Amino acid sequence: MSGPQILSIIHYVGWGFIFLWIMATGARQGMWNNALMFINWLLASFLALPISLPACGLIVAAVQPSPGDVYTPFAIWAGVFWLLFLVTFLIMQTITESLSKVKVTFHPVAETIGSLAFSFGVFLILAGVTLPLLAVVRAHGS
Amino acid sequence: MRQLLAITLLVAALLADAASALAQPPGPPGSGEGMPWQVGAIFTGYWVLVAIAIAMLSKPSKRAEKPKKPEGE
Repeated sequence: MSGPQILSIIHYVGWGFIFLWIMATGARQGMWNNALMFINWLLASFLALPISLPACGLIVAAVQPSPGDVYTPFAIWAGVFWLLFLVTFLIMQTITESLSKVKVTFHPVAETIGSLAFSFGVFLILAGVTLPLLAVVRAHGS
Repeated sequence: MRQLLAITLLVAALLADAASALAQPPGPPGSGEGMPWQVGAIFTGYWVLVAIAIAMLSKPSKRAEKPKKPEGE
């Protein structure tokens, strides 16, 4: 089995792991907490992506990697994106924690379904954020 | 503590597997054999960042439950 194939399999296993992790963590948190988490997660990714692209361009222009080097720009983009994503998420989380100090309760059925739905949304965002990495691995293997 | 252990295991497994994937000598482009070390490094670094994100996500909220009104009110 080739290296890219092994990394692709590890990637899918990683998705399975984070799916189980997020769903299990979210199930205990309740719909209100998960809804806020989902919105924070979504806003953080929406803010980080458009800012990371020009920031990456500036850094790549300063670093000047060799013409055939496709990995350094990607690594720089990934670093910038994740830094912005995590910092934005932390800020959003701090703001929502201070604004909403009480957990709003819903009907038990809505609580369960909504909680799982928002947890799944968080998983989809996280899985989506790792797609560029999978594209890089698969592009090398094809 | 359990979360830290699980994440550490995830990162360790990824490092080990990435290392085993890189153990093969790089083949010609498009052959699917081996790969440059940068791919494994990026892969591992990326998943370490995902693990950090999951650790942040797993932090339980401090929000209190809304107090229920006593019966008869």
